[in-house]
Order: sequence, then structure tokens, then C-alpha cells
Amino acid sequence: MAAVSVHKKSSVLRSPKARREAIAAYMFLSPYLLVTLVFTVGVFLFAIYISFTKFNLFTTPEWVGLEHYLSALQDKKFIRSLVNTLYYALVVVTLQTIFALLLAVLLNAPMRAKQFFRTIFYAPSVTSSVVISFIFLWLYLKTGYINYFFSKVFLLAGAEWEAINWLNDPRGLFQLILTPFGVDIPSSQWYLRGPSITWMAIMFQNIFTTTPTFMIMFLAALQDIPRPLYEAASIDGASKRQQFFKITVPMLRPIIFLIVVLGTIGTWQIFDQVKLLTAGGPLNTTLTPVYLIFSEGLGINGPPRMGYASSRAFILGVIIFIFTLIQRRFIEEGTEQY
Amino acid sequence: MTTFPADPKILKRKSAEKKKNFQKNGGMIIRHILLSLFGLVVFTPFILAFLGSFKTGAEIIAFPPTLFPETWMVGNWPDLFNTNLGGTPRLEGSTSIGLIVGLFAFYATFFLTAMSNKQTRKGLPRKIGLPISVLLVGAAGYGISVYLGASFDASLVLRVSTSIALMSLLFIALGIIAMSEPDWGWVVLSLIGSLLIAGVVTWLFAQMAFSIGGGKFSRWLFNTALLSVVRAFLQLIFCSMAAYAFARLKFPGKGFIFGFMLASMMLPGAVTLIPSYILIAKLGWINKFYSLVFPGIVTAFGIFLLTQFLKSVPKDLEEAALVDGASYFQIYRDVILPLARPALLTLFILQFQAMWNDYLAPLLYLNTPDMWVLNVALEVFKQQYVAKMNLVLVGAMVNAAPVLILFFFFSRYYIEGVSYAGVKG
Repeated sequence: MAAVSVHKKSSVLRSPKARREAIAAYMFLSPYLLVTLVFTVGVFLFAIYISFTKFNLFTTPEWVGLEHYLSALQDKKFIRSLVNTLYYALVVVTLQTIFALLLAVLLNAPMRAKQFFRTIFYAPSVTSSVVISFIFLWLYLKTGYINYFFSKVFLLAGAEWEAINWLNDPRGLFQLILTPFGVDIPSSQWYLRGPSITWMAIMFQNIFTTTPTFMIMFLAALQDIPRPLYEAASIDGASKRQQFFKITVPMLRPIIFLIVVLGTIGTWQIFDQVKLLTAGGPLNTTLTPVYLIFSEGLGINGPPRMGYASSRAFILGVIIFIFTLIQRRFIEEGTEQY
Repeated sequence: MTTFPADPKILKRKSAEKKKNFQKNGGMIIRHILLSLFGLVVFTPFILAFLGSFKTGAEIIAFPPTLFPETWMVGNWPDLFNTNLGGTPRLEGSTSIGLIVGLFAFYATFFLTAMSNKQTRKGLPRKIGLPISVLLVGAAGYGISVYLGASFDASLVLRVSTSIALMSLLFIALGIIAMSEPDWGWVVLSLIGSLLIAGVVTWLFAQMAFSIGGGKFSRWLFNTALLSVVRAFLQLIFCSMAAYAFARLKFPGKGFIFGFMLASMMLPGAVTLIPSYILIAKLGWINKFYSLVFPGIVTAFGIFLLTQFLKSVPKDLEEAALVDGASYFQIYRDVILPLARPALLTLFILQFQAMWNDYLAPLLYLNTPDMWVLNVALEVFKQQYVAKMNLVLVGAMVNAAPVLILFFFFSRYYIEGVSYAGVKG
């Protein structure tokens, strides 16, 4: 794309026909340019400016320089939200990518019910997060189906299940694992306690809704892998498993990268479920950066701190960017072997 | 758009290999069992919630939970529409709906009639039609700026700049139309018509709103549907225009703008959350539907999807049209739009769903009961009816139903849209 326009640039506007074409093109683009100049570029530049000021919508912005950025390192709530989201992104992105790939491989066979399964699996992805959250809110009740399910499973194993208050349980995963061994993690080292039960419940819900979207993307990419590759491999005596790891996965590298990046951008910005189900609680174990930005920026619990919120948003943006760079590196390095 | 049929040659060859058949069938059965199990897991929450919506308030939180309701409380569903969260409708709500419907009507009349591909009647000459149109657009723009002036806390600079932006949007539309040398009688008619429609809709809606009340479920359903349809429709027009330029026309700066667009798709929305809110607040758009419609009338995703589609379509038809002396707008309207119909349907469905399911933006911008959309209303509803989880579930079902129904009818388009954007990107 870029090469084409650079190559032709010198001659583009010479003839009247070319000039007419360029004017027409900009006419067609003008609505996009107008909207994007105001609501993307303008707003982005404004965000940079605001992040260096103290501003609450009603006063004039007061310049404070780097203060908001420097205070981020001591901002306990913000660091807490970042650690929470790091756990979240690691678990959710890994699991949803693996599940999506496995499901896509299962579906990628000539069979009659393919269309049907694809439609069924995709249903959670088209439903609004509010609806899914309320359904899960109800399933996660102490008297809900999920506790009921576990009590039945435990009964089969001859044990008793103690009902869990899924959406209000701050106990961490590592804490739960280590407590029987007599290890007690003090609350000052909260980050070692691992994701709380509530946080894991929300992770499960999110994997449930996002896996299908990525499954569809994998499925489309799987169709593009040339069949002869598999045929040649099976003639050479490669097993199904070898074919999967030596053909399917390497051929899917670009789409895996895309899915991991999209997943990362999505998970680092989780908001809806937190706002609807926990409001960051219990004990801040489900606090996330976007929820913090939302509640501080709009002043849900106090005066609005828009400069503070904007600076935190920028730090979040940089973190997401760094993650995508690392992932790109990681996935591209793998590609070079082939 | 590509569909993915199984390769018949391979199927044939497979059936020939009888030796392997048994093994293959075994694999197939396991595959089906696994898929069915997973399908069951995926669908169980929906089924449970649907059944739960017919239970009584006590039964729904009882332990152990049952699958079927003891008595089927069909009355839960009409009950939902009888609940009232209070809040009085305001006239501003109606005017913002009226103006948006008017804009919608203008583009709808012009583009939909244009898409029918009929020879335009040469009625009103350009000399008369163009000035009348400019005057009408100017009047509409002036009306908007006066309206904005009446709205509360917008500063003078912002008021002037928005009205300039809005007016330039209207004039751009007019300019594009002018390029096509249309029947000016028709343009004038659709302009007058849409202004009239805007007025009539405002009036009608205000009447209706004041008689129904603010915090009613039917009102939220209406708001959500209106916003989703209007925004998705406007996006078809503006995204396809930009996509035509990117896919077919040569112009300086194309590579840069396209690259910028792709990069902007990767920008996390959280970064611009607060400044967008400030901008919308300063424009006086809080609690008006403009805040959700105007920033979303054209999106990078939509342009990208349509551009990729158009690039895969052969150019023969347009080249023939160019030789015949058609203008760029005529080609766009008479060749490109009909060609792109499947991709346009895909985009419409995806964007309809995106607006219907959006939660954060409506939560930020809409804050009185009469302006809420379902997603925002449902949360407040949950807090008020905390003891009536069954009604909350009915609300969730009503919220989910339209998108799910649309999805089951058009699942091919959904799936193609998602995979297209992913794989070809």
C-alpha cells in the first residue's frame, strides 16, 4: 500500500484526471477524516495535555508537570490493579487461545453438523456482557447452580462441599494451596496470594464469552492451510499429533500472534464485569486499571481527578504496547526455525 | 465472501479407502461427542436463565436449585414492562431523537432510492436546485447551532466549532451529491422531507414520551433499538465511502492515512476515555444521543472490513462505467454499493450488535432514566429489584433476545465478518 502511493506520488497530480480523482477521494474520505481528527487525534492530544494537569471538569486545568506520573510508583491502588490484571491477562489469554485452537481443530473436519456447532458455540460472544454477567451473578450465588454442581460432584467422591460465595471471596489461589501446609502469606505480601476466588470466577466467565470469537478466527485460518501439506506428511508417516505441532501450529503463527495481541488488549482493559459484579472488591482483589480510571476520573467516590486518571490511562496504554511487542518478538522468533 | 465447503475430491478419496474407514468413523464419533459436550456447557447458562425467568422470586434463590419452575410464572414477562423506575422524560431527549432520525431519513431517502439504480429524472435544473439545497443545509446548520447555543454549559468557542463541524459534515454530504449531477428536485425534496420528519418525530416522540413516562422498560428498548439501527446505518454510508477511496482511487497520502487508520485500531479505548468524556461534556452532549451516534458514524474497523472486501472484487464493471463517462460518485453509488451488499450486511449486523451490547460509553454519557439504553438500565434495575432476581433475569433475556435472533438468522454474516477481519488482516 505505502509503496504504491510513494512510487506514484511525483506523477499523481499532473494530469487533470488524476487531480479530479484525488479530489474525489478526499471528498469520500472527508467524513472519516473529520471524525477521526476530532474523536481520535484531537482527543488523544488532549489526553496527553490533561495528564500533566490537575483538572476536574469545572475548574481550569492546573499544570503540575510530571507529578501524576511520578506518583504512580507509590500509588498502591494502581499497582494493585496492575498486578490483578497481570494475573488476569496471563490466565485468560493463555486459556482462551488454547481452548479456541482446540475447538477450531475439532470443528475443522468435513462434517454435517459443523454449521450447527459453529452457531451454538458463537452464541455467548454475541450476547452483551451485561446479560452474561447477570446470568453468572445468579449462577454464582451461594445457593446457585455452580455451588450445587460442586456439592453433587463432591458427594460422588464422598466429600462435603462448603458453599462458596463466589463473587465475594478474597482468598487467593496460592494462599488456598499453601494454607494446608501451614504457610501463611501476610497481607502485606498480597501479590503472593495469587488471584482471589472472585477474580478467578470472573476469569472463567470471560473465557466463556471470548473463546468463541477466537475460535472462529482460528477456524478461518485453518481452512487456508493447504491440504497437500497434510497429505505429504501422512505419506511420510507423520502421526496426527506430529502433524498438529509441525504443520498446523507453525502455519497458524501469524493468526496466533493476532489473537494473543487482541486478547491482551482486551483483557488489560477489562471493565464491564468488574463494574457489574464486584466494583473492584472484595479487598481490592478485582480492582482493574480501567475501573480505577473510570471511578477516579468521573469521581464516583469523591471529586473527579481527570488528570490523574488520564496519566494512569497512558501508563496502561504503554504497558499494553510493551506486551504486544514482547509477544511479537516471542512469536516471530519461533517462526524462524521453519 | 468465501464459504468453506469440504473438498469433494478429498471426500471421494476418503470413501475409497475402506480400510481406514472404521478408524475414521471412530474419530468422528469422538469428535461429535466432544463438540456436543462443549455445546452443552456453552448453552447451559442460557437455558437455566431462560427457565429461571419463569420462577417465583423465592424459588429462584432457593437451595437446592431446580431445573424447571414449580409453577410457570408467565406473568413475569409482562411484569417487567409494568415496572417503573420513575424519572420524567425531558424535551431535550425528544429533540435529540428527532434530529438524529431526520439525519437518518435524509441519507436513507437519498441513498436507498439511489441504490435502486433507476435513471434519475432531470427535473429541477442545477442553477435553482443547488442554491436551494445550500440554503436548506445552511438553515439546518443554523438551527443546530442555535440549539447548541441554548444548551447549557458549552463555551462559545466550542459551540462555534461544533456547529462548524456539523455544518461542514452536511455540506460535505451535499458536495458528494453535487458531484453526481443528480436530479436536484429530488435532493431538495429529500432535504425538506427530512427536516419535516425531524420536526414531526420530535413532536410525536415528545407526546409519546410524556404519556409513557421516563423509567419504563419499553422506553429503554426503544432507545437501544433506535441508537443501534441509526448508528449502524450511518456507518454503512460513511465507511463504504472511505473504503471506496482506499480500495479504488489513487490519491497522495493514501498509504499514510491507511496506515494511520490501522494503527488507530490498536489504540486502547481506555487511553481516550476521560478526554472523550470531557469533550462530550463541553459540547453539551451529555444525556443526548449525539454523544453515542456522532463519534461512531464511521469506524476504522468498518472501513478496513469494506476495503478488504472491495479489493477482492473485480474492477471490470467500474472500468466500463468510467469509459461511459460516469462520475466517481455515480460509480460509488451504482456499482460499488450494490457490489458490496454482502459486506455491507455483515458490517450492519456487527455494528448493530456492537452498539446494542456497548456498556461503557452509554454508562458514561447517558444519565437520566429516560435516556438510558437497556444495558445501563438493567444495572440500575438490578439494584432496585435486588429481591426480584427473576425480573432481572427476564430483563436480561429481553436484552439478549434481539441480538441472538438476529445472529441465528444471519450467523453466516457474523462469522464471515469476524473471520474476514482477522485472517485477511
